[in-house]
Amino acid sequence: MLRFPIACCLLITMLLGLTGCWNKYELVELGFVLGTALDEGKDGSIILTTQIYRPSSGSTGQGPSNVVSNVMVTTSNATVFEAVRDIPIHLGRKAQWSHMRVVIISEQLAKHQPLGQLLDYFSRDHEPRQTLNLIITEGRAADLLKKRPMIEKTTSQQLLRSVEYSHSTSGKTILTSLLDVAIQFKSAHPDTVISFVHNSPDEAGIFSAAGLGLFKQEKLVAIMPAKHVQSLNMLRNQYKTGILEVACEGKKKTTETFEIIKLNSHVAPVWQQGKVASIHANIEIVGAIGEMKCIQIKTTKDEQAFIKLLEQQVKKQVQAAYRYMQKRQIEVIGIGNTIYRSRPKTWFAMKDEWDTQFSKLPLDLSVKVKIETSGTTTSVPGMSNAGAGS
Amino acid sequence: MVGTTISSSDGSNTIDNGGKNSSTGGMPSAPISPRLDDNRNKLRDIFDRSTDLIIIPWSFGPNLECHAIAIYYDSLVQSRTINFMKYTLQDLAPHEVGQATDVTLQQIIQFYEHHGVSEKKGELVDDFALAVHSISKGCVLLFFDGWDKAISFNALAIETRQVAEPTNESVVMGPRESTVENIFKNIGLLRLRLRTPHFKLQQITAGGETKTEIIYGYVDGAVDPELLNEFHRRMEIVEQLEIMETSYVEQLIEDSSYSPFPQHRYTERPDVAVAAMLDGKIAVLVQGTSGILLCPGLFTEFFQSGEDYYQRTIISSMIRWLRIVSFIIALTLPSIYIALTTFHPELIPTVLLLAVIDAREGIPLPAFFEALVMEFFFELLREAGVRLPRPVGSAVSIVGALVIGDAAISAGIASPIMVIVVALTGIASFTIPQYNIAIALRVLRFPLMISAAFLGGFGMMICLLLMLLHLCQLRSLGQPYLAPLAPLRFKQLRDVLVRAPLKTLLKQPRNRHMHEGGK
Repeated sequence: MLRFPIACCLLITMLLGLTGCWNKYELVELGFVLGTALDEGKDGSIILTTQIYRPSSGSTGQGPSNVVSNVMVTTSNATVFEAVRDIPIHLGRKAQWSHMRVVIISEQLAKHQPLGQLLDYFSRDHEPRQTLNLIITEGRAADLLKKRPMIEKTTSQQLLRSVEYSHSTSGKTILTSLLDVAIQFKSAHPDTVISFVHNSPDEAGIFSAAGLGLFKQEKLVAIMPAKHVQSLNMLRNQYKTGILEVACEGKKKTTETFEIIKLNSHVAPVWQQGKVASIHANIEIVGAIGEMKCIQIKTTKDEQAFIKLLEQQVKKQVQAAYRYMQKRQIEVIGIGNTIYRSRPKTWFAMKDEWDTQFSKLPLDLSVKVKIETSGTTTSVPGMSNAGAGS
Repeated sequence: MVGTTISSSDGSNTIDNGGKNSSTGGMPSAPISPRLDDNRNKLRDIFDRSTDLIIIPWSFGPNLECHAIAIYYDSLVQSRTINFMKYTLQDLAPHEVGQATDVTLQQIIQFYEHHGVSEKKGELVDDFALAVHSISKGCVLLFFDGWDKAISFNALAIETRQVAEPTNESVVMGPRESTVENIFKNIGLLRLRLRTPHFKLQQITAGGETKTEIIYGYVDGAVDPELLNEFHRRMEIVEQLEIMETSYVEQLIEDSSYSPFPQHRYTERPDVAVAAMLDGKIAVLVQGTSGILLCPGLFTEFFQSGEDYYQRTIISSMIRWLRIVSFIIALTLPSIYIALTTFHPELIPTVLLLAVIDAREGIPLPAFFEALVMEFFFELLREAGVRLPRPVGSAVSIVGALVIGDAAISAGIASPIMVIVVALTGIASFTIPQYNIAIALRVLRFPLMISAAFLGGFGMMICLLLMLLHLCQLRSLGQPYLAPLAPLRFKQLRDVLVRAPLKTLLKQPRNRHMHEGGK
């Protein structure tokens, strides 16, 4: 049975012949891009700042060093791709994009240039992942990237984690990946949102992931404040967990807090004579009492009253966010796409006036809250006597 | 002594002389001369220059006129305690002490030709070549003047190792007996566990000079008759050659000599050998070696350990899985490392990648050579550890731990990750119960690493597919090597990926046709 060694010899010869034909790079020949910031330069050019991981060459691995673990490369050119190709000029290594966590776009650039054109390179090239996350920031995007990370090893990772947890624990922004945005841009009603990170102007200041950039026709039109983002999340059924605050009766400054554990919502247009008459939204909330300062729940009647209070609060907040969107004539709840899906012909007839139409549609809201637990056996303020009846 | 009691006429043992030329070896058969002096001179010629050959002349009979000689190898027999000549005469003399003047040659001839009852059983030999062979085997031969036959007493007595705990297949639960270098002791250990006349033992004597006793056993009815025929056919070559070790037999009867995969299995545990024979395997024992060869060996059997059947089902199955995983690790981990770091860094999770980059930075060698150097170090140490005398052995581990573990990293030759990869590969290969497939992995790792270095994951796939193709076409004694995986035999899968409960494993007997087909 000489076939095996012969096959081996043949294979090795073939492999030797094919050497170097593929994308072989040693790790030390690559610079791993962790994050990118896009800023507006002069004459509409693009300033590309890439954060590249710098390996700590002390490979013995004796604890974290204080050396900054990344380098910044700034290149400027008319298009993103050209700017990308300029990176090795400074870096001396080939940039590897597959581990890029975030792309940060400055507010200015997002307002002036269509986002789709800016991001085309990242979605077309084979290296960057479709799941990389997009962030809008105020001021210069590069400044945000240059901030020192709070706890993670690199700023890019820190930004990604901040946005992720902001979305999942408080609903104050929405995690938007490149793929999400690309799908949204290609859908019937392309207006979309991208997470916003607030950057304090001072050098040592920290950043906070709260807020949302609203995009109309691929251009940034407004930054939605965090309090409205929570309500938008509820309407979009993307709310994970978060906190609801209800003011105590009579005392303006004291608030009860209610933790939302689960939220389900359904938003649908209400049709009348072939036209959208109003928007109906149904929100179901399951939660737990977080903090109690003044209200006592001793009977089911008390509980019903508290639930009513919570429902009113949700309605108030959601209506406020709805009005915010109506005022700016931008609909990012996804109703436009729902209409397209259910009645495509009607949609094509109405899509040009949809934004103006939307600004006049009333929101018919029904909210249902269920208290799953109060955290204690008796639902009265546990630590203070402030609200105690006696 | 087990060894001294076994002989061909013993009823319960079915050892028979299977080989045709086993008795005489290379010498042409010749009759024994009735003249004692002729025989003595002939023997002196044959056993020329043998210091340990003893020839003792004896006289007996009336007026001490009858002459005889005893001839044997001093180094092989228990002559220091037993005088066979005296025994022979004592059987015929009515008294205990004396010069045996009343015993005549005629009495002896008559007594032995009619198989008279004697304490020490002597056999009659009438062929000179056979007599010479018997002496070489450790018999004491008595030649008498005036008789053309000789009496042969089996007196083989050599020191052998005691039955001890198995060293290569140690277990936590289960019997702690291991085979030894004495073939008859081993057979005793087997027969103790397999008390049935269906357990057949056949003997052949191999080699012109060594005359190695090879005994192979099987359970009649459990073994596939076609398999047995094939085995007989292949053993024909073995008979012609000098056999030193069980592995000689393995290499002579295997299907593919160039395959890195072992096609037969070894064990040093009698319980494992018996279980295998009940499964229809043939066990081969060679005088002078302790390993039992089990033929045919299938790929999946190399993942089974004797202890699997003594532990609980879930635990055994889990450990079976662990072995399969460690097999994959031992085979592919270095090449996966090479492929991932040089071709597919996007497949490594980001945080892990950053750790790998940190470790790789400043290493002068490409990933492939780094892996090659470290694997080479490891193989060097392993080989040195095996070959070195035991007192020096610890020095190797100290140097090894320093060189591989610390110095290579501090010197910047290898990255800590690479050390983990090599160490993990090494440990994984040690968990495979059969040593001979573990060393096959040692060899196969390198072509895989080369193809990973040239073509990344694609190259690895090519190499693994070639291996799979090879495994598919491999046969062991004509049986498909990958059975019962390919060809897929569902019923036999209960002892492959999982070890089914013994209730189901043993219910449908492995030797199903034994009771109907067997004799």
